[in-house]
Amino acid sequence: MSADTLVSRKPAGRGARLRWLDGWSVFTIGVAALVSVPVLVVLSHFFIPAGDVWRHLAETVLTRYIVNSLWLMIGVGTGTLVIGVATAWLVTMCRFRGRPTFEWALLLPMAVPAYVIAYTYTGLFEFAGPVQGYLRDSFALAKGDYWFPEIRSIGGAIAMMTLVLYPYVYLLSRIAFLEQSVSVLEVSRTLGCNPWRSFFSVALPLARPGIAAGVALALMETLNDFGTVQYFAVDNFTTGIFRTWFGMGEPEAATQLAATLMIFIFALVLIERLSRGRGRVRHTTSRYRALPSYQLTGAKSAAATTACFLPIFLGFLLPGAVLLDWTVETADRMIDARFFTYAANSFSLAAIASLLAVAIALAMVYGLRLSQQNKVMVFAARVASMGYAVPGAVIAVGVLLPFAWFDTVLNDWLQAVFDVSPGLVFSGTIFAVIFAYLVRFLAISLNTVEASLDKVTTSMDDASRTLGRKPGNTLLSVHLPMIYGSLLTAGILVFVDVMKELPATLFLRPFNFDTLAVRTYQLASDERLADASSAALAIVLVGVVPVVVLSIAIARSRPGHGKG
Amino acid sequence: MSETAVLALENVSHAYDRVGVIDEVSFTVAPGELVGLLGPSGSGKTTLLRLVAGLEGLQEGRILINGQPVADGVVHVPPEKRGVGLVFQEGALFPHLTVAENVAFGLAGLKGAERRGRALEVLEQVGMAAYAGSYPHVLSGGQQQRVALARALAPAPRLLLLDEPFTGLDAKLRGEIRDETLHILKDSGTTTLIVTHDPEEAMYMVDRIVLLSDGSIAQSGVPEELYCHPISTFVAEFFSSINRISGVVKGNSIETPFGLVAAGEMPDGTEVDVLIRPEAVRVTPLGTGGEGGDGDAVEARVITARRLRRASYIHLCIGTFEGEHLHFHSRVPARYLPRDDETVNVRLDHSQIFIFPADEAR
Repeated sequence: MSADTLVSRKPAGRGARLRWLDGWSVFTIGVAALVSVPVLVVLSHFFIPAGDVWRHLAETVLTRYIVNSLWLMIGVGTGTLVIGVATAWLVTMCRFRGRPTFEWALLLPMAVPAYVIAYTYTGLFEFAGPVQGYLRDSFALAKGDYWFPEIRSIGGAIAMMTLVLYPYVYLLSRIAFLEQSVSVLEVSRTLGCNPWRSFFSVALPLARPGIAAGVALALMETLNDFGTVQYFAVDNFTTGIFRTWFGMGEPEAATQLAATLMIFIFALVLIERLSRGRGRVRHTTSRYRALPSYQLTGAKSAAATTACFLPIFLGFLLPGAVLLDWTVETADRMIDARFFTYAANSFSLAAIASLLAVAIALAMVYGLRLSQQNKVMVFAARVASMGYAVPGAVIAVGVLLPFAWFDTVLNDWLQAVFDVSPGLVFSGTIFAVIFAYLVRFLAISLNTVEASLDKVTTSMDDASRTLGRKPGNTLLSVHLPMIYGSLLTAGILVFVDVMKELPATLFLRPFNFDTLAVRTYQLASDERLADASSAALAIVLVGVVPVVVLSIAIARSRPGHGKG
Repeated sequence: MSETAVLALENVSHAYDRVGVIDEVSFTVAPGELVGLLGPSGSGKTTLLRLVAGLEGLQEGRILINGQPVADGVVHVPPEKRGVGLVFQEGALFPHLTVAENVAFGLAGLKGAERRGRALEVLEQVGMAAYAGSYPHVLSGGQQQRVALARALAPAPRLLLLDEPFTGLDAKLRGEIRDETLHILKDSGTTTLIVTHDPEEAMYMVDRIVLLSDGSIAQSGVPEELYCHPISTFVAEFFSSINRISGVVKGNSIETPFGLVAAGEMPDGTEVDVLIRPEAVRVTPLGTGGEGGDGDAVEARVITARRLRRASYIHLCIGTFEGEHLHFHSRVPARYLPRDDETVNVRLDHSQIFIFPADEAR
């Protein structure tokens, strides 16, 4: 054995430590460091002395932002909780007309971004819209003669977000109900609980961690929303960040707003982590038998069918139909070469981001595996997946500041040394947009890839290594073919989230580089709601893909339920 | 040393965060030798195997393959460069590759026809050539294990490591595969280190046993030596269930329900355990002179007797000894099966009695 076979030299003693200090671990830690930059930049503004602008904001609008954010969270939290838990329980535990279809169809509203449903409902229910117009014509009413709820209000925003965010609660509480021990429920029945009492006294408390995690996710999305609140003029942090930065030209104050918003986020992450942590140790003795189903008949069955149909109708079918109608109506004007340019922009951003997210996630998760879950590496991966909770507007601010600083430094240096000025290298480029996507969506690919790689036993690695393959070669020839399907799923999930993403794209995109989401936002802002429909519909259609993928995954996840 | 050992461990110590502490382990494996690393679960045998394969970083000591250090304080040769083959308990075949592709996986140095030829050659050796184009999931457990063996043998490793390779199989199949594997390894002259917790398997398979207890070597030697001349209570008890009597040395002997047994060199007053293998308890019908055994016969009552495959297993009660009813096990050739409650003659074969100072742990 010659000297070239020595891969590593280590200081005396401590053998186990050396193995992770290789290319893989450097990569993992490097990615984690890079990805955490935006959040760290934003958080560091807690410690920067508040300027006059900040003092002005604090005195004038900050209270309103906080109050509005709290109302939104309370409203959307309650709404998604009720709809999500009720539908999940019905679909999981009862038998009634249409149940097999509802099982997956209840996820469909997930495909609709909140801003898209907001634009659609505004077009439908505003004063000049078809609904109010029909009412006026039918009853010969004039403006002011009648009361109609104002859609562009905080109540409207809550309704819109609830309709598209309840699937998070549905998804996680359904998983919790599926995993519950059948015996526990049956015992409660034999102890004299009727179905309603066993639901409230046994099933609901047992599923609480899953439900809490679902609500926490829905609330993170609520705080992430920019398009709806901007359009409905419900001032909160995301609109404030946008206005302070671009309207008032005050990056420092905008970043301090973002830092304040992070307090809310940390609270939600804490709730989610804690509830998931507890949820994991709960059902240790669960036995997987077919769940007992309450057969509903007559009025009860009709009520259950209606309860499940309404959220799908209001959250997906109605807005989808309206969008389709408008798209057909405006197709001649709107579906032109420019439309395809926007689509191509959206598509290429999403494709690049999802490819990168999956590749980086694969390398990180594999590095983690090689390090045998070394604590530093686990922490790094944890840091890298924090972005999913951070609103796009906050990430955008956290990306803009360091990139602008870096561009300035680079220009100064090149100017001084070579007397050239390359202009903007990072800020205002595709690079910045992609980077922001990775910060926000890396968690999705990390989770998916990790779950699938965990299913490959480590003896596969050991076998490959002792058969003469290096780690990288092992990844390509053993793991990659085995987890190919999951990588595809991870890619799709990231792809769709990028397609839907609005605030970060809006803040960071290069000049005159518009995507479908940005185009939808711009047309809606100009009150051209019908014209915005084709771009919005395209986003929704792409968004249906992961719903299908997810529902297949759920159907397969329950032991004993067979395939499909 | 006339021949360089294929594998040598020198004072290897290793500690995990949680379990499996290896303490100053040294042994060698000579060319063509089959060595069994035997021990109860948690004794550190799999950790040692992983250290040898390079899957675990060595903390202290030195590991040499063919006289070259592959792991010591400075060097860590990665597994892919150690030239060792590894077979796992569960086979660990790559599910996305055919049987032939699995076997060819380690033949990266060969190309095309040559590579396929070598893969088929080894598959022929293990009797699996007919399945070359199949995927692992259609194979039975035993077939998978044969392919796993072929895969490990294909690159002609300097050293083959087997980690509980037969544990997942049912008893009958285990016997067959064990036998086949022994022949394949002996025919090909492969130097092998096999990890097992099963003393019978170790005795069947290997030339030499290294018996581990709590991370250090309890005894090593040829199987017969460990069985017939154990150097501690642990070793004696590991190979079979054994009758144990506590006693004290008095006048160079120890009083037992079977009479006095010689205490050898041990000084008077030493507390000892007298260990008697069941086959050393010779049972004969009352009234016959009895065969074998030493000393006088004592009478015992049969609690119950069971016929196992090749032997009868007899539960005996010998009167009272120091106020206690004593329960003994005897194993005799199966042609004899006493009735329950029958009174029988019992003699001891003193060559299969082991006396050690009493376990401090007890």
